[in-house]
Amino acid sequence: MFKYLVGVCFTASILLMSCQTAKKDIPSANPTPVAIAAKPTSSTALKLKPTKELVLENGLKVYLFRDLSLPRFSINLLVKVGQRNDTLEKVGVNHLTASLLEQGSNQYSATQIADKIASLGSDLSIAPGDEYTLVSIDGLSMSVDAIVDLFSELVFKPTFQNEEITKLKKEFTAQLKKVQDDASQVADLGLNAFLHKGTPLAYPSIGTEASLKKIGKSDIIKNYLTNYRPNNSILSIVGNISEDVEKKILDRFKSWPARSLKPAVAAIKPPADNKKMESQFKKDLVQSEIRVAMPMIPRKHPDYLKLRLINEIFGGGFVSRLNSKIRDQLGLTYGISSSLDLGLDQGYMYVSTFTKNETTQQVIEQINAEVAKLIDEGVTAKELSSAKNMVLAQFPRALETVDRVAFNFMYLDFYGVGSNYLYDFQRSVDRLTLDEINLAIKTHFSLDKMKIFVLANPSVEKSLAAIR
Amino acid sequence: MTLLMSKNTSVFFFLITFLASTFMWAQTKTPARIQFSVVKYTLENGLTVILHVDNSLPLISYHTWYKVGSRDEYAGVTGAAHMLEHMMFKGSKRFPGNDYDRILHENGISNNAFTSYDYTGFYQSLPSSKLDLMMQLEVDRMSQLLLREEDLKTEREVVKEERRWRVDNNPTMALFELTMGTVFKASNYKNPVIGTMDDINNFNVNTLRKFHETFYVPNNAVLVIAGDIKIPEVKKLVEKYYGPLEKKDLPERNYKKEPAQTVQYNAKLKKDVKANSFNLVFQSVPQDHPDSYALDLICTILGSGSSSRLHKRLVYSKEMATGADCSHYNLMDQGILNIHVSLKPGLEIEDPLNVVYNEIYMLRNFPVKESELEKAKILAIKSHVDSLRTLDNKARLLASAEISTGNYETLFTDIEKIQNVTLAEIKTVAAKYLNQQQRSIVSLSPKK
Repeated sequence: MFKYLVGVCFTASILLMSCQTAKKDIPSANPTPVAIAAKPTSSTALKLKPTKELVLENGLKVYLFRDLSLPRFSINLLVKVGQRNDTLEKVGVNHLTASLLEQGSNQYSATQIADKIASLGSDLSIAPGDEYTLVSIDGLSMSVDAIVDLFSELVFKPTFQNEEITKLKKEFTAQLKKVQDDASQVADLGLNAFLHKGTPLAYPSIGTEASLKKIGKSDIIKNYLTNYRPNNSILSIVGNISEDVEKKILDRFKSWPARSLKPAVAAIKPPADNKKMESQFKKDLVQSEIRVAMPMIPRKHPDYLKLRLINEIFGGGFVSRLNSKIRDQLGLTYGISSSLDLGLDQGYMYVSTFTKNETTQQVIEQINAEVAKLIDEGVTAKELSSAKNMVLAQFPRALETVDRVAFNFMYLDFYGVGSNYLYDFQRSVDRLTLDEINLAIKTHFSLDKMKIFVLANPSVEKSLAAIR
Repeated sequence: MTLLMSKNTSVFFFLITFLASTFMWAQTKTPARIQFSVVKYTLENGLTVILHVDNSLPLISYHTWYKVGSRDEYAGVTGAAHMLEHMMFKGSKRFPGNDYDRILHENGISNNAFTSYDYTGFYQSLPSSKLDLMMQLEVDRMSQLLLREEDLKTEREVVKEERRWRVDNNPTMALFELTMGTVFKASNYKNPVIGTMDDINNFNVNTLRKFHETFYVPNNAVLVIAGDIKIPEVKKLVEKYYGPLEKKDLPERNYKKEPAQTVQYNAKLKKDVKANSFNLVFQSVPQDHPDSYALDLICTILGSGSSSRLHKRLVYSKEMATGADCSHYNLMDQGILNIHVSLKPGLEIEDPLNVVYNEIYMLRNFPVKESELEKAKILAIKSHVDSLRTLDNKARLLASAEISTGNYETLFTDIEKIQNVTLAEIKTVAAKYLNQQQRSIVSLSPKK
């Protein structure tokens, strides 16, 4: 289908290959033969602001983005509950709760819900995460009544029937086994288990075989009644919504009863142990999957933008240090990158890569060396200038659709950052100095705090022992 | 993995609004069309240029696609098109070494590339002020690629790592590679796009240079520039930079045709996996075939999303599988309709396979309900137009439609063709293609 639909590289269509994950960084013998002005490129001014921003009597925060140019709309609900709210004994409760929202309601069975969504030309997305759960639906404006009815039915009146709970638990149990066939996912889970030992985040978000057995219907209902509340949520209404429809949606959500909320869960801290590396071995692997994590800062920390630029230089782009050295100069991997994942209480910079069994040790040593070099030498003015240009120039893509803008508002609200981050983005990036960036590196990076997880063929075990 | 589903809907409506503000398709079934303004022309040297103005962001999406892919390879050089794609980033005469990447980064331009069975594409997202620079860089590597042995030596290792990552360490992709090798016996579609490890090891710059000189020529390329542009200015720039390039004779392409399948093919793969899975594959039709739209809808009815027949039976009711999807891949010379079923651990493939056979039997012998066909059409059309939601996707799909059919407008007429599929066609086309003689069963099982 979709004769002209082609995927992009990392989400690649199965029919496509390659993608130039990165290239080479060999100093050129010749000066660039044309004058290339590398002055900062300007990012667009943010044009879209919420039409309305209000808090309902039941505590629901609402952002309305009216955009009459398109006969479409979406409703997005961010519920402030995630895997971090699960108990250790019953990890997976929230993933089950969220997934069950589309598996039966007062009026509809699971298959009726699936058929209704498809027939309306709508998309329902449920994404339970570490710290929040996002439930979204979209559709044609002319179908808004039916879709609003359906969405409120699913969110307000899930039935959590025993049969559906049992089905889903069996499916999750099967998925837990099957995930072992995906080396990349196994490595991600292994790193989580290492980093978050003793917390719910150490386990798969769908739970474990043991935890799934312990979770009962009452746990799911309790989680739903406790957390899926208006005073624990943020709503965005986006698109071509008339004032009448806006009133209808708001009236619906006004009827959603609030409840007193439980105290916030305790902050999740990185483990205090000094263990540097953990590994797991699996026969048949021809490549090792390598994951590295360095503790950083929470999302709302004022150094966020500094770290974003450091990440761009270190491992965020094709000319990043990691990619230039380990892929382009040494040919040791097809892809290596770093990324920031900053949450409510803590954050990490991750490095992710893979290499053939024989060069596993070498790649880990190279990553170590690049981190050490970053800490010792900092970044250069040229690198900073280039990183600023890239981050600023590509910033508008994050706001390309009104849905993306709305999501950004909810996300920033949740993390206590505020929407000024968007309006001030260019100015904030522009004014960061080299000294500030290099001070941030000294402040936040530490080789001692670095954690490494490796999934590898058993033949690699000996070489890993040498670097533990 | 499926090409059938995507998440957002905005472009669908956006495009429809362009045509008719009174659009009431869902209610009246009035045929809908999608359309946005496009300018197409051809330079004297044969370069096809497609321009689309969209000033909503100060960005341009820049796509250069060449009509060369793995189907242009031959025994011993599988993966050559892909290897050349990598080498396109290794320096050209005016921009040697890593200048290409360095300059792009310094100017806030993101970029990437891909290779497929039929074509190879390079694309960038750039601030609209950088169009002149972008053209200089792309023209130079189209016409003056360096292709140095020392660069190939390192990049070969990168591609070997890519093969290990995509295929050798990835059971699902290994199953797909075996599937293509099973379904296609004569056509070059039997070869992996990335190439075999032996061939990757044996590439030399002469082979790649021949590929480059032959296929990376203006009359074998499509250039799409979409976004914050002014048409007259862009036309001048295109003429200035691409105009002087020389048109070259292209080789006659006598691709081996895949003969009609007459017996069922079977293949088995054993890996260190926890559960069985299988691909049930039917030989299908090339991109421009009139039956492809009915096959698209058949695939949607069978295995697109949780309201599809296979999901309901295999995943939901019988709880045999963790996933059941259908994908209809239209390549330029041939297509496949692939039903992929991923079983729960411990289950053998026989019973789930019989469920799939049963659903196919139903499609071949009994008409689907009108409401089910309408639902499939909505899903198919929405997914089709959702893929046009962003500037980059619009440029990508224009390039793909143009290079595949020679006419980008097919992108806009597909929806009408999907809407025109009848209940009778669904039954006839299912009976014509979903039969035992045209099917292959390729399975992945745990090693004992």
